[in-house]
Amino acid sequence: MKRVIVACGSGVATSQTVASKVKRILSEKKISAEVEAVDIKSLDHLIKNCDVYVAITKPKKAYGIPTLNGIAFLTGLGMDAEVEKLIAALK
Amino acid sequence: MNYSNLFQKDLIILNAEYQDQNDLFNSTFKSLQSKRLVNASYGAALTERESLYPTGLANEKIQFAIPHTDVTYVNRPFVQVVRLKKPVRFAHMGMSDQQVNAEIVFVLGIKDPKGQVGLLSEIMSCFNDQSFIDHVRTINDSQQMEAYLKDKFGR
Repeated sequence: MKRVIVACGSGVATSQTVASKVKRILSEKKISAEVEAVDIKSLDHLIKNCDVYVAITKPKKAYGIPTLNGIAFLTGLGMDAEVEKLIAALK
Repeated sequence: MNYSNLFQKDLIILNAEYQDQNDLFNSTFKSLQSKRLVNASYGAALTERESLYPTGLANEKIQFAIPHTDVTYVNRPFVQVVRLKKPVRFAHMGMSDQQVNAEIVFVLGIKDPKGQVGLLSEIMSCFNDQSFIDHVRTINDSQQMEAYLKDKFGR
C-alpha cells in the first residue's frame, strides 16, 4: 500500500487536521493509501518508506518524492490542484 | 465531536490592542497561566514554536492566526479567542516570507491531538464562512460571543 506522510511543526494540530482531510479525500476517490501525521523532527526518519510528502512547513530539502502544499488542504485555497497531484502520485 | 467546552467567556478578549506579537503572547500567557490552563514554560514554548513554524493564515475573506505549541505545556485544553482592534503581524504558515495581518487570533490549547483532530478543521471551515466572520467581527459582548462560539462548535 502506498503511504502519504504529513508533517507540521509539532504534529499536534495542523498535520493531524490535514491528514484527516487527505484521508477523507482519498476515501471519496476510492484510493487506498496509508496517511500518517508526524512532527517535523521525525520526518527524516519516517519519510523513507513514503510515496508522497504533504508539507506544512517549508521543505528544507528535497526528498525525491512528490511534495504537496499542505496549507492548501488546510485553508482550501488552491486545494484542487494539490488533490490532482496527490491522485497522480498515488496511481 | 463537541468542542463547545473549550470556549469560555473569560478566555474571550474583544477589541484588544497590542504592540506586536510578543506583547500579545505575553498577555495571553499571563492570562492562561493565572487560570492554570498552561504551565510555566508555555510562554517561551509558544514564542519559540511560532518563530520556527509560524501560524498566520489567510483566505479570500480574512487574515487570522492559530498559535499553538506542544501538548506537554498544556494542563487543560482550551481555545483563547482574541479579537484585535489593530491587526497584529504574523508570518504565514509554511511561507515565512509572507506576512499576515491577523485580526482574529485563536490560541489553541491542544492536549489530545487525536481527540481534538476535528477542532482545527471546524475552525478552518468557520473562517471560510462569511456569516461566522461577520458575527465574530461584530459581537461586542464576551458572554454573547461565548454563546455564539459554543453553539458553533457544539454541533
